[in-house]
Order: sequence, then structure tokens, then C-alpha cells
Amino acid sequence: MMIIDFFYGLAFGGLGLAAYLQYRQAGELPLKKQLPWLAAFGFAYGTTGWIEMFLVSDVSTELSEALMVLRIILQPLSGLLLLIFGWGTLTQMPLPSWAIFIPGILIVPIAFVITYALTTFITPSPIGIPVDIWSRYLMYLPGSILAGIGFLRQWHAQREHGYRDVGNLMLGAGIAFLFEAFVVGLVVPAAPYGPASYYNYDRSIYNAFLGEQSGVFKPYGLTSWLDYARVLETTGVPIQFWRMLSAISVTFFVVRALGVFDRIKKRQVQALQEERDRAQKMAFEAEIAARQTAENWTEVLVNVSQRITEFANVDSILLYIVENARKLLQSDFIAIALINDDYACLELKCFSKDGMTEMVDNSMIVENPLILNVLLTSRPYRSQENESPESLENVCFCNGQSANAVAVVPLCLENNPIGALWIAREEKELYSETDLIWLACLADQVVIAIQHGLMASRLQSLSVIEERARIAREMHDGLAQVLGYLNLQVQTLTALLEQNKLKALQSELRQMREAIQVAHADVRENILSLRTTLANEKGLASSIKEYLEEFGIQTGVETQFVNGLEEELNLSSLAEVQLVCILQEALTNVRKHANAKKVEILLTKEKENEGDYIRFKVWDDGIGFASCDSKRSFGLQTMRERAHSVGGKLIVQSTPGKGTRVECRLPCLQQENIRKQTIVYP
Amino acid sequence: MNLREWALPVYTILMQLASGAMLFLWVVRSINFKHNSKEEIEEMSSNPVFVILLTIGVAMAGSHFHLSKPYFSFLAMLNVNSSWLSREIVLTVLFFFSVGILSFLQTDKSKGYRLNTTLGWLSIGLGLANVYCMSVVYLLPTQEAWDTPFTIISFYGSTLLLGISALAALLVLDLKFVEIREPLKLINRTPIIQRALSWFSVVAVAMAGLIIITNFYQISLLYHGSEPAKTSLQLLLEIYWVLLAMRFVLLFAGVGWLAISAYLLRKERKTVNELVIPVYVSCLLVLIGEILGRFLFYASHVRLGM
Repeated sequence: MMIIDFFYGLAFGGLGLAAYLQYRQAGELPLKKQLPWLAAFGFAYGTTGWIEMFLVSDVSTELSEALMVLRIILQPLSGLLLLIFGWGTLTQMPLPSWAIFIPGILIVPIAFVITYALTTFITPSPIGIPVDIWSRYLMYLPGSILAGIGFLRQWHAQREHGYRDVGNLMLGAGIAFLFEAFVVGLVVPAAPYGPASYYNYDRSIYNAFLGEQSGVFKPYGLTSWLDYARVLETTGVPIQFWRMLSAISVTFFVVRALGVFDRIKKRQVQALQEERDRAQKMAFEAEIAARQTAENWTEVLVNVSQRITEFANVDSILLYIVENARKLLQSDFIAIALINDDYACLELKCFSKDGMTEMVDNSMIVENPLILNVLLTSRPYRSQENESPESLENVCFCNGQSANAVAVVPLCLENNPIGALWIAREEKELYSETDLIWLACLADQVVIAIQHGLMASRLQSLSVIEERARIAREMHDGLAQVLGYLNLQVQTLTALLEQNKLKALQSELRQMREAIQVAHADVRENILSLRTTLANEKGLASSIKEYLEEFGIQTGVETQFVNGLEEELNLSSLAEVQLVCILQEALTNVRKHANAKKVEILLTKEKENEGDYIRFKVWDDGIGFASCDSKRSFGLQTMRERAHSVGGKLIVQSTPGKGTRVECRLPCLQQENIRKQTIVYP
Repeated sequence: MNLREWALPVYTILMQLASGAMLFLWVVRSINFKHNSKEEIEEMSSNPVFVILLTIGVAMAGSHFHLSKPYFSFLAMLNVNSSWLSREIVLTVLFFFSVGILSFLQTDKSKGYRLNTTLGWLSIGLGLANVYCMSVVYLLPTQEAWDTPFTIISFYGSTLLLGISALAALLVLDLKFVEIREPLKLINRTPIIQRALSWFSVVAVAMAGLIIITNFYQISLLYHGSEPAKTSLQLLLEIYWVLLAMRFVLLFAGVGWLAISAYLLRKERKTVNELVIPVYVSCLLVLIGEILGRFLFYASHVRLGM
């Protein structure tokens, strides 16, 4: 018996120690808050077991009485600790809502049982007996049952989480606690009250109703299985052995289960790490996708800017914008509409839908209220989920399909609305705020393109006016002067003829012929200049060559053109115009002022770090001039301004008697930009 | 007391608890009639009414353990003209059925508010009449310890104290249930219970005082009474003194805990939800104290002429 009691106490003491150590080292165990109660219960109840061990051995009366008092204190105390642990274990996971009424329903039975228990303390039996009985009934029994159910709930939860091995240990702990409830909480010393009247160690049967000892003894009745003697007779070992076994099984399963929480934690950490890796991968992929999108957008915007800079046709820029924007914004339809000249209505300018991107020639009036409202408020808009179907009608022109999502941005020139750009899709996937931002960027580009188009048109008008002024000036300075001179000469000739001064008449006629020849040369040169265009099919180099040959024929100056280009010039349209103008001005100077016999033109391409340059040189073997020669300075200044206007540079070197050298350098387009001009984003 | 004798405290305590809880539930209902909708009032009172019905049922079932032949218990109603016991039984049955019908009618919370209110007051009348019959039964000339008006007063004192403690616990538990199931309903329900707990505690303290004073008067009467009365007093002060002291301690503790909780609630140091355990424990302590009191009531009587 002593050995059984020793191991009984040892088992619970071990349980207390294991729970205490787990509490010390555990981080976030699910049962951590309950472990101090379990540890305290284990130590208290283990001590009770060892007190039993000492009581059955030969100890002195004084020590025996002291141990009895200690047992009377420790029994309800350990029972209370077990009850708290059991309640904590049960409520570790949230209980169903109806469970809130269980204490309410049990309050009356609990009150009666407690009162009944209190009344038994005034019976003449030793106080240790009711303490023992009611500690077991009121504390060990419910405490073990609660802990058992709590572990069974954990078993169920762990199985649902896929931790079957952990779940099995929880099941073991739950069953062990329920077995403990039976062998420790229900089997009590014999007493004439309550269940103790029937279920007790001593085979004493009482009539609980009458409170008297019954004379009837049923050796094979249910209750007889629970006494000491029957258990000993049937199993060969006393009930204390089964209690010890129960204690060892509780300790085993609980300790193992507590250890397993570490494994759960490790698995959870592993699962979290995997989750983190997945999240990182997804974030990386999202970042790549975002970067790709940004790159695509940047490419389109750069291309648009490039086209605008090159004064490309506005319509082609707009078509490029709508086609690429529709693809980038994954839309079914995109359109640009502009307010007409009368400011009376909004007219569709161009659109893009699947397989079709074109300008609209006929007048198509936009009357959709959403688009018109954006125009009125000058604020971007994107449709929401609760958008009425009526407001989305007539958004997709030339399409016939209905839109379920739309985004509209205004086109504003100097804060005044001039039109609208909008996208629409048939799917119900709404446009995001980011989509709206990108669309607004494109709207800015559209406005800039339109602005540049207007500016180019204005420049063209100015060029025409300038050219007319130049021709008028040439005619005034040249032809008109000559004609005035000839008029005077004709009057002189008439007078000489009347005076019959033939020698003088011949001399005057000779001067008139020379003046007419000069005027004729000027007129021919002007005609040649006006005839020389850049848009012919042969290209700029061929045009220069032809112009130079014609210049040689007209002026009698020997010309030589050296074309050092192996590839295209790749000059912007404006730079080509300026190049021709500078060349014409240089050759006019040669004809008028240089008195040269020979003129050479060299056209080459140079590569530098900043980019490619076209370099052309006009060299003559004429009389040259000093740098302060005012006759030429105005023309040279114009040539310099022309070169600077397209980012180029002009150098003029001349020494009296040693000819003149005009050298001009104009920047080529970047190769990347040239390539982009030819590619439309897929 | 053996288990058969325990059937009497079970019956009397539970019937008093049910009558008192019903009374105070209907008072709460009447007070909040103007502040809340009829549906909210019915919603608030339906679960407690059902629990009261269960309590009466348990009391009736428990009382049968006192009988030698429980199958013929209905025969006890036949002497309703002459016997207070028969009247008690008849009123118990009527109380049970009236609360049962009320609970059934409350299943549809949108209808019959006036009918339910009337039926509730009728049930309260039946319950309180039942408590009167229950107390008069014990006014036996042969039992000097019982045969005083203080028996009636102490029975009604217990009815009110048990009723108010049990109702407080019921309302806070129901509130917790509502919090879990339908938290939006807390907005209207919480103020009702906050207001109720304040005056519940005052009534509980007053009733506890009344019970203690009544007990001391009874002790005084026994002290100045005949030989059997003195024997009863001797039993009370010599054998059962621990239980008597425990009864007073539990009563004080229970009522005190409820009063402190209500005070903390009033001062907004605690919320109603935080009072579930204090109010529940307070009710448990009062209940144990009252059951102990009833145990002492039965255990300390000495029959005259034995």
C-alpha cells in the first residue's frame, strides 16, 4: 500500500513539476494560463497522496494527527485548484452561446448540494470524512469532468486543424481525466448521506431517504462493484492501485500533450514562414507586373512626347494615344471628343475599339450626361457599382455594345475645358483610381499634342508671311530698283536720242544691259529657291545636289558637292528646313559678295557622346571679308539664329583675299526615338 | 434531515423564488414600458419567464419526493375548501399553468402585450397567494416555533429576496447571451438592466435586513416561550449555531456583493457585462443562505406535547 501511495503521490507531484516547468519555458502555449493551477493541484494532491502513505505506516500519534489536519486542508484546496484548472481548460476555446445558461440552470442544484453538504458537517462523524467526501463530490468530480471535457474539445479542435497525433494525446488526456473523475471523485468513504450512502469503499448501504443503514445487502448489485473488497477480489489489486494508474495516465498524457504544444508552435511557425514566402513571392510578382505596366506606360508617354516634339501630325498622335491607351487600360472602347468651334456641342474626334482605330470625319455629337458633366465640372470621374444603366448608355460610339464601367477625364487647355477623353469596358470590373490617374496623364498628352498642332499651324502661317515679306524685299531691292533704274535710263536714252548723241547712247545701253543681266540672275535665283522643296522623293542630299548644279549654271561658279553620308540624315523636319535655308543664304552670299570661281559643299555625319550630328561646310575661293563687314552681318546673323533654333551651331571663318568658310552643325534624332517612331505598342 | 425531508425546502424555496422573480420581472417591465418598445420588453422578459416556469416545474416535481405515494398527489387538491395545504397545491398548479400560458404567448413577441401583462400580474397574484398559503400551513398550534406571524413575514421576505437575487442573475446571464447572439440588441437592453440593478440592490438589502430582524424576533419569542419553544432555541443555538451563523454570513455576503456591484456600475467603474460573475455568485450565496435558513426552520421545530 505504501508503494502504491508513494507512486500515487509521485505521479501527481511529477504532474505538478512538469506543468511548472512547461509554464516557466513555454512561450504562447494554448493552455499556458491554466498551467499554474495544474502545477499547484499536482503538488497539493501529490502531497495528499504522500500523507496517505505516512498515515498507513507506523508514525507517532502526534505526527498522525498533524498529517490528518494537513490532509483536511489539502484535500479541498487541491480539489479547488483542479476545479479552476478544469474550468480554464474547458473555456480555453469559446463555448457555444447557449452554454451561458448552464450556470443559470445549475445554480439551484449547486445551491442545494452545497447546503446539503454544509448540513452534513454537524453530524457526529469525524470531520475528515465529510471533508473527504465533499472535496471529492464538489471539486474533484466536477474539476476532473471539466478538464476531461476541455481536453476532449482540444482533441476535436486539433483534429480539425489536421494535428491528429496531438489530437490523440488530447483524447488520451481527456479520457484519463474522466477516469480520474470516476475513481477519485465518485468513490468515497461510506456515510449516511447523498450518493455516499450507496457508492462507498466499505460496502455499507444506507437508505438515504430515511438516513438509516439498510439491512439489505446485494452482493452482485451495481453498487457493490465500487467498494474496496469487490475491486480487490475482482482485479487482484486494491482501488488505490487503479487510482495510481489513473494518476500516472493523467500525468503521462498531460505531460506529453503539453510537450506537443511546442511541436504545434513549430508547425505554426513553419506554416507562417511558408505563408510569408508565398506572400513575398506574390508581392514580387505584383511588383514585376506593376513595373512592367509602368514601363509600358512610360514607353507610350515618351513616344507621344517624341511625336509631339517632332511636330508629327496631330491626328496620328491622337490615334497612337487612343490605340495604346485602350490596350494598356484593358478597355473595349476609348474616344476623344472636342468642343466644336462654336462652343455649341461636343464632337467625337477619334476612337479605338477592337480592331479599329480611326478619326471621325462626320460630325458625331456626344450627349452622354456623365461625359458632359465631366466637361462642366472639369473633374475626372469613374463609374461606381451603383451606377444607373441609363447613365452608361451611348458611351461606346460606333460599337453598339453597352458599357458597364466607364472612366472620363476632361481635356483642359489653360484651365478651360476643350474636350474629354474616356474609356469604357463591357465587363463589370470597375476602373481603379490608378486607371484614372493614367488616363489623366494621357489627357495631358492629348492637350499638348493639340496645342503643338495649333502652334505648328500658326508657325506655318508665319513662315508664309515671312517668305512673302522676303520675296517683296527681294523684289524691292532687286527687280524694283532695276526697273526704276531702267525707267530713268529710258528717259536718258530718249533725251540722248533727241540730242543725237549716239556715243553716249551706246554707253547708257551697255549699262542698262548689265543691270538687266544682274536683275535676271536675281530673279532666276529666287525662282530656284522657291522651287527647292524638301518634300521631294529623292531626299535632302539629292535636292541639295540639284540645287547646287542649277546654281552653278546660273552663276557660272564652279560647284562641287561631296556627300559623306552613308545613311539617312535623321534630322527633324524643322532642322531640314533650316539646313536648306542656311545653305541658300550661304550660296546667295557667294553669288553676291564673294566674287568666287569655285564653291564646295561637304555634307557629313559625326558621332559624339551626346548623339549624332549632321555637319555641312560651304567653302568658296572668293575675296573674303573682314569680320566687321556690315553688308554680310545681317545675313550671317539670320543663319546663326536658324541653326540655334534647332539646337545647332554655325561658325563662319573668312579672311580678306582667302575666301570664306561656313560650317554648320545640326543634331540628329536619337536612334532609340527613331525606332520608337516606327513601333506601335502591341 | 433525510432526503425525503429535503423535498420540502426544495419546494418552498423554489416556489418563493419563482413568485418573487415573477413579481420583480413585471415591475421592471412596467417601469420600462415608456422607454422601450413592446417587442423589446417582451424580448427582455421571455427568457426569464421560461426559466421561472422551469423552476415551478422543478419545485412541483421535487415536492413529490416528500410523498409516500406520489401517484395520488392530485387527491390532495380535493380538500380545497378546508385545507390550506390543498389551497397551496391548487395555487401552485394554477401558478404553473398561468406562467406556462404566458410563456407560450410570449413566443410571438409582436402580439398580445396587454394580454401578457394582465396574465403576468394574474400569475404574480397566484404566486404570492401560494406563498401565503404555504406560510399559513405552518401556523400550527402544536409547533410553537412556527406558529407566529413572523413565519408569514419571513416567507414573504425570502420570496422578495430570492426573487430579486435570482432575477438579477437571470437578466445579466440573458444579457450575456444576447451579447453573443445579437449584439445590436444590447443598445436597448443594457440601460434597462443598469437601472434595475440599482434598485434591486436597495430592495435586496432591505429584505435581508427584514429577514434578520424577523429571525431575531423569532429567537426572542422562542426565548420567552414555553418549554418546546426553548428546546427549539436550544437546538438552534447549541447544535445548529454554526449553520445559523453561516446563514447570516452568506446572506450578508450575497446581498453586500450585489450592492457593491450595483454601486460600481452606478459609478461606471464596471460595465454590466463585467457583473455577470459577481451577480451570479451573489445569487448563489443568497440562495445557499436561504436554503440553510429553511433547513434550520424545519430542523429546529419541536412538537408541543411530545
